[in-house]
Amino acid sequence: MGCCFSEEEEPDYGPVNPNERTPLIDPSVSNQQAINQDRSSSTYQQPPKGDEQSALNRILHKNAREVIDVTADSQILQQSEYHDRQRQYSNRLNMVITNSGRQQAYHVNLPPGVTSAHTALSAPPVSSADVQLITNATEKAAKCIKDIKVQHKEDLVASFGVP
Amino acid sequence: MSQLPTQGIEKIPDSTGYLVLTQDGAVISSGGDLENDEETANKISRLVHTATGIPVTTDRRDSFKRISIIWDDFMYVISVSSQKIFVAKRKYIPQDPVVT
Repeated sequence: MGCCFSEEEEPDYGPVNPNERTPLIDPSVSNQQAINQDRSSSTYQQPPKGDEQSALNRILHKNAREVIDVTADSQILQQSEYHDRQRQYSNRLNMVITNSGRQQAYHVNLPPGVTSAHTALSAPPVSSADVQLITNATEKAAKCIKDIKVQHKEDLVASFGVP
Repeated sequence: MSQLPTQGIEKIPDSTGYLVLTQDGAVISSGGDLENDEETANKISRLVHTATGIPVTTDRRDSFKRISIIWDDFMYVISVSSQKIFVAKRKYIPQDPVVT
């Protein structure tokens, strides 16, 4: 119901290209409304002063000024528009992530893995012999890596045409 | 059963905690010793991504089925299934006497 109304109203005050930084509630619009209501309330109030009706009116207008009508101010989005924006924003996010060098952490796909995690995880632990084997192997590998030395044979920078 | 986010790993008999992580390391489900343990989750996520790059056979499509990180009396067992990382913390009881 409010949907059709606000859609017609939208082009009048809504931003031309809404983006992720567009405020949902346009501050200028709510101010304008408040001013308009302020004026109308003062004109309505004048004739029967002191009347109970006018006192109620005053309370009503005072409250109306303080209420932010989200349905009138915010833009109603269609389902397709949501998806468009979602795509647009995730593209931008991906661009930022790619540039910041965090790409690897987010875009590496996991292997297909196992069909049942429960079966794989509840299986008995690897045998001590296997643990021993791998511990010895890694110890040896670590020792070897420590022992790697660069043997200087010739200059890495060769000079051409320099006497 | 596969509809459950945890695939039933919280019911492993000797388990003292579990984690289910998304591909990028976010915790989907956790419990026991590992409840909301994001630090461990991050470490395990990085470990899994590193392990993914290590070929286990000559066929590059093959990958690990389970990673075990073993301490003296407990272990983490890690597995990947349907693009999620499953971790269980279990008591470690050696299967057979150590042969030296």
